[in-house]
Amino acid sequence: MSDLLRVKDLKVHFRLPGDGLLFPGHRLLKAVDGISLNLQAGETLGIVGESGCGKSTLARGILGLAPVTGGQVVLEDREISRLSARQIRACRQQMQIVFQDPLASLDPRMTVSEIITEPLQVFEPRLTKTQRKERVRQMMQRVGLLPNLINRYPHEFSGGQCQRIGIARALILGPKLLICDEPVSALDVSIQAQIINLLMDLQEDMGLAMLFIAHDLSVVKQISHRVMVMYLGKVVETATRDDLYRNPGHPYTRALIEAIPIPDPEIERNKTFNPLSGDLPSPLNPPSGCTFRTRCPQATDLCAKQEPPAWDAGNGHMIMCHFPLR
Amino acid sequence: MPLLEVNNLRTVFHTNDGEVYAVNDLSFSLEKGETLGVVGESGSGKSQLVLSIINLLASNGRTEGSIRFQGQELVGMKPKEINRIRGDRIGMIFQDPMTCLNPYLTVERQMTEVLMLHQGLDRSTARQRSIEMLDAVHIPDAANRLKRYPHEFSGGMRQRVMIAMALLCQPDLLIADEPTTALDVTVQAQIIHLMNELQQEFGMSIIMITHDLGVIAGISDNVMVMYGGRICEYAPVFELFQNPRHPYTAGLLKSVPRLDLAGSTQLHSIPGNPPNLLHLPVGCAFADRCEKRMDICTREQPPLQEVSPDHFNACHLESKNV
Repeated sequence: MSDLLRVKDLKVHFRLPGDGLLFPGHRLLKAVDGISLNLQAGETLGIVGESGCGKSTLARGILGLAPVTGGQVVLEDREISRLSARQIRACRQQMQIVFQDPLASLDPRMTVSEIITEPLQVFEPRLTKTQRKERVRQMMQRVGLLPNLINRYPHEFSGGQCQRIGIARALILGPKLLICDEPVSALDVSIQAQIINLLMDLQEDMGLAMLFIAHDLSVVKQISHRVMVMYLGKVVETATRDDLYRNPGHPYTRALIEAIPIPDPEIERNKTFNPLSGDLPSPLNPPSGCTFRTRCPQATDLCAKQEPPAWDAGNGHMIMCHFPLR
Repeated sequence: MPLLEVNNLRTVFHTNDGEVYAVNDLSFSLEKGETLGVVGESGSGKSQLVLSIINLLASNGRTEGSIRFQGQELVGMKPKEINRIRGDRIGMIFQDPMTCLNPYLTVERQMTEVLMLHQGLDRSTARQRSIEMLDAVHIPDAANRLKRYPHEFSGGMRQRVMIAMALLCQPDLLIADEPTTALDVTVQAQIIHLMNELQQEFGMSIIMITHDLGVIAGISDNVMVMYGGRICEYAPVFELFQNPRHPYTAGLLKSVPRLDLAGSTQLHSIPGNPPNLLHLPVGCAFADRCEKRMDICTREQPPLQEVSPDHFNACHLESKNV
């Protein structure tokens, strides 16, 4: 099967003004630095990493919401990263996004029906009013919103319901690619489960390709087929879900997995692990060689000198490390 | 005598839309050296509970009932008196360390102020103690870091500064309101590790509020589950996780995606939404989301009863079983 989305060596670099002292000219912030991925219809790729690792910028780069400075984004055999604003608008029908903060991503002055109808007015202006209404009604039902709520405003809804509105708006045009940028991290646990289940159902029904960005590895495990781990704008490991969680190959992936508290006191209290020390280094001044080496428990001189090559562990499991864990 | 004893606590807010009942008839006690985990969804009243304890409610809030800390009644205490307890005997850590630190003042100024005010130390002794405390929370190069402003620290470092500040006077009670929610998992693990270590060193009691059941499992002795401003279940941590009795607790435990178990196709989810504190139902607040609802649930408030030693549950199912 051919890939719906192919991203090749994508770079999103931001030029920042210099500080006048150490960096008199300008400084380059490499938010996304050479990321490649592919995604098929009906597949979910989870993207995880700490805040500041570039996961959201990657999503924005793919959608053309952030300036792409290098590489390619190919959606259905069409290169879209160099399109003009007008041209890319037409492509957005095929790719939609659900954002993290459900309330902030909805216009407070529009009713639910106006919010969900707006994409139809833009992209399918020939629909009659009745047809539009019917489509909105169906969509609301599909995401679990009662039709009698149609004339309410976003502030009248809880976080979980707002996220359902956001999903309805994203899916009303029948896109092929849905990007979810931390869609459940602002929600309570019981509501989070509702939204994850809804997204999994919708994906199966509509055959969506999904990029699911989250910092919570247990949520990503639940929903993804494959997982990609990012650190400072780069991919450190990609694998199928089971390979990644059973046999993490990169020390960073293992540290991330071990850091998640398990909701079982027996296990949680008998866990022996050394939490990663330190914080994410500044992306303005990333370490030489392997960017993770400053926090890596097993770093050597080689790690400081050379960027690690991709190590193929089979079955599409790629590890960017000089000394992958086996 | 327990360190903290809360009896029939009620916290009400007057708003333009009516009275908001944030905490309703809540009673519990906390022993010396104990860690109490408080879990609940947003709007369950967990933050308002601790704000009531330390008397930091918004101006439209009112507290009734009794809160006894080391035998002293905190409800109705004059600001001058409570100021002597707050920051000295009771330390606090909040969710967002950036908004809790004053951006205009150096960390040194903010830390020494606490010691000079509560313990009457002079500036240089206070400075020395602050450095020691920053060392204790593993901030490298503490003497130099002390001169910095909050924005020069990363999120995890700022939370360490907050913890150091809360522990300066060696309080008997540390209240932590979602201290790791704004942090990354790797940093969260560091902070939890640190809190465990500091508790062993200083022996204070901790009230830990979080919605993360994993954090609760790792740090608490006892767990209190809140819903609609009430306790729905209270039990020692092992008992609660192995034998949850309230349908809400059981549902919550089942709806967490687990890293240690194989991912199933569907997660268990609790239908519906959390209750509106403006219009709390007459009966059990969880009734309309509960899969085991009976007639009585919508009519009567279930009492909190002891179902096995130290395990309390507020559910009508308990009365039915008996």
